[in-house]
Amino acid sequence: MKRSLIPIAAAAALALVLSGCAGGSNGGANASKQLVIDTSFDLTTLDPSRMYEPTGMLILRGVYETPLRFSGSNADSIEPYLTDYEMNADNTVLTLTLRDGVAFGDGTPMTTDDIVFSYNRLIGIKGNPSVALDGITVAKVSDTQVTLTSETPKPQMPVILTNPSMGIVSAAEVEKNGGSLTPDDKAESYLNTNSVGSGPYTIEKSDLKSQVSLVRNEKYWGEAPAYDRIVFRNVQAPTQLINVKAGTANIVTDLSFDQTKDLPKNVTLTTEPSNQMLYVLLNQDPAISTITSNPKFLEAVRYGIDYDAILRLAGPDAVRVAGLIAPTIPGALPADEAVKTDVAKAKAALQESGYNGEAVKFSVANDKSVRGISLLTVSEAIQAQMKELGINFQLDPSPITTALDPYRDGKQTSALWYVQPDYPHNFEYFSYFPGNQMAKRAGWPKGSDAQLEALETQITNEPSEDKRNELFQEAQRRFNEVGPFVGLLHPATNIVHSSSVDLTILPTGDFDITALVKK
Amino acid sequence: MRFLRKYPLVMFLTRRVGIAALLLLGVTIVTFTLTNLVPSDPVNQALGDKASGDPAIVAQYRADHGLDQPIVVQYVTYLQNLVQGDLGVSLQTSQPIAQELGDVLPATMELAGVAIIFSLILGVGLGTLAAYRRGKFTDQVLRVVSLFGLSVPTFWLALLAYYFLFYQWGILPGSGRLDPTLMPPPRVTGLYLVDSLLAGDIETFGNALSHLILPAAVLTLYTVGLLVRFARSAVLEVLNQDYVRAARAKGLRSTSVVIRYVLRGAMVPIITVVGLAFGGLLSGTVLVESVFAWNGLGQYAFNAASNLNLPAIMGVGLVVGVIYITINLIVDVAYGFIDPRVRVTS
Repeated sequence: MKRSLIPIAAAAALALVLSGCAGGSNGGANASKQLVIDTSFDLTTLDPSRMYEPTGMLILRGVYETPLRFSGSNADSIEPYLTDYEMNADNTVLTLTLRDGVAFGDGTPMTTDDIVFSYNRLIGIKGNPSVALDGITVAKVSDTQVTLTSETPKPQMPVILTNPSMGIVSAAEVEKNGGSLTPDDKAESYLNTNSVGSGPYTIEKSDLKSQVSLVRNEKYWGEAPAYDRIVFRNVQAPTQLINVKAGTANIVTDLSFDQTKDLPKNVTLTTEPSNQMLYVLLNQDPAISTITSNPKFLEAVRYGIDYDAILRLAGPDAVRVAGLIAPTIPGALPADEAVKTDVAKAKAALQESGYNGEAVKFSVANDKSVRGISLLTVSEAIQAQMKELGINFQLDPSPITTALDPYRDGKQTSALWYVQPDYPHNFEYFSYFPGNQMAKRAGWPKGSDAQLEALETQITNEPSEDKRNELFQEAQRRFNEVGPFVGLLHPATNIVHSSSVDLTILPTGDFDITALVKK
Repeated sequence: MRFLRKYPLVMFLTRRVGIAALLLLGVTIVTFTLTNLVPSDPVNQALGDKASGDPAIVAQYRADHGLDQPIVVQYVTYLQNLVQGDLGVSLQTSQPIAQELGDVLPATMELAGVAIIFSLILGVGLGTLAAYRRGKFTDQVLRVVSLFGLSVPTFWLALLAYYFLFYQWGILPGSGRLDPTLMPPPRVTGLYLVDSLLAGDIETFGNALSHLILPAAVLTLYTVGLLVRFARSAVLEVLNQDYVRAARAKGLRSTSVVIRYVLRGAMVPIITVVGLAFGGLLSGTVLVESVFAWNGLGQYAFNAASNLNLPAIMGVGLVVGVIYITINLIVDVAYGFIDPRVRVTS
């Protein structure tokens, strides 16, 4: 070949190679029965007994199955799955009855020993989700039955058992690969790349930082899922938007309401109010601040906030906080009982408080957005509203890495924060009652409000769910009067997906990849 | 010592490696001190809301990661492990940092490597052209192009390129290093282009190459802007030297004059800039990586910092230090090959 022809030949070969892959470039998500999900990874592990992050939940729902599961968007949509269940009258003993025919991916039948091992391992290794089974003893009753026994009433046990971290693992496989019931457990590395569950999918390949792919479990004991292969890619929101529009991603999970405007026809938005709550915290510890701990100052802030204006910052699908409990969870207050802005009442309370315009530090994690809503933007809006009222909130922005410590230590004077219950059950909200975890962060110890503390005891011991829900509503009305938390809004969960996919957003804010429907 | 005196290049390299080791020790001290000065508890970042309130879980986590030891002990332990090639364990994933860096570094190396090769070819070529056409229209256009490359924010350019070339016109593929339908080639180097060729998998090679073009082009534009300016001024300095005029007077072909006399003379400052630019590309591609879902060192560093993952931050600091020190060493050695006046002698 003449020397002058070599570059031309090389260029032609390159063009050939590139043209060969051009078709593949758009075919990723459209390949037959393959689904591509773009999400911003917070993945730290694929070991269900250590996993506690949204990305892990999303992926592991397909690999590990739980005794119970949600079938709809409301928290009361629990249905038996691997097991039937029965709670005793005082909500202390949950009996699970394993259904026939359940098998792991290798074809081995699931036994009650596997359930006991899975939960004792989760408790014993002291990973992130082990707190969920705090104070619970797991015991095998027979070859078909297992009990979960709590010293105190725990009606939330069925809800907890829907979480993918409660997925059942094959005891034999985990033990063979270094698993144990103590913190010395060494199975995590193995579980990061291998599946030992009974789900309709198994892990094909995983890289916790970039991509995880699941393939259909050929030996699945139940009905085959809609897709043969699911690929999860670590992609940030702006790129997710382009990918779903282009069709190279079928489902994207992190778009803000702004990004979901003007979507093309091949793309659908499924949205639900989330369990997350944005709220203002006012510290009640006089040692931290004599201003924010003044009940009249708290009242002034509560009635001075223009909630509708704040809600507009969060888009049309976000909803006002009525009480503390999210609207999808039983026991929530009706929307019309939300605190209403009353500037005259706020001004009167402020005058009564004796406040003289002193600067009040208002902390915010300035690098954090919650479902596309910038906390900094919301805090600036609150600052402006309070200024009109005569309250001098001085913004104290810092990255979440440094804002988290003083918040958890109860050292912040006032702040804007967000929170989500670990499980969609009203018992998760005990945390806000005086002396409990969230209340301590607001400098609100035991003895701060006798009425709420009496309600806490009453609810705990109340066997009737309906009555408990009523009592929770009563408690929230009290919180709306005296609580140090001023609830602002529940942002919307936005899942944008190809119109050919049908999905249901669960009360946990994600969706079940095994229940996806291909249209 | 007699051997070292006999071979000055070996002595030079030995001395540089010794200095590099000291520099890296300095990097570990600075990184360790700075990360521990952040007024935040890494346990709070790693554990969930409830778990962080459970003393037993917190104690277990501190013990598992050595965070229950005094700071000095933590540092000494880190150094002891480092000498054995152990960079510690991630506070987020509990995976070895060395393994995680080994996963992300090739992705960035591949991207930055392609970008720097194109930058070198285009930057030096266009810079030389601009110098030869000094003051003329071509020179003016190239200076505007250079200014554009330097001043346009890279993330914005990346988003624009992604939107038009992928979404609107469908010329190039989208996110990631490969289409989701394809599996990565069997790992040998971690560089998909190399590994797919080693596996004889042309389809994967082509796909990886097509995924590489867009992010590499975005990175190239910035570096080209830089190189055009440096190459232009370096070539201008050399053009009027006596030895270049003599070469022309001897009747040598102009391409021969450019390559053998002009560029060789101008190459020292150009190589310095290329070295720095390559180091910058390897350690500073976080925004481009974010737009193109290219999970390399930049994204890893960003996540490590966001989550106060101390061992990962230390690991990234060390890797970036090694990158810069190695590049500087290569550049210094290259000086000797290009310019006999700076060659080490006995």
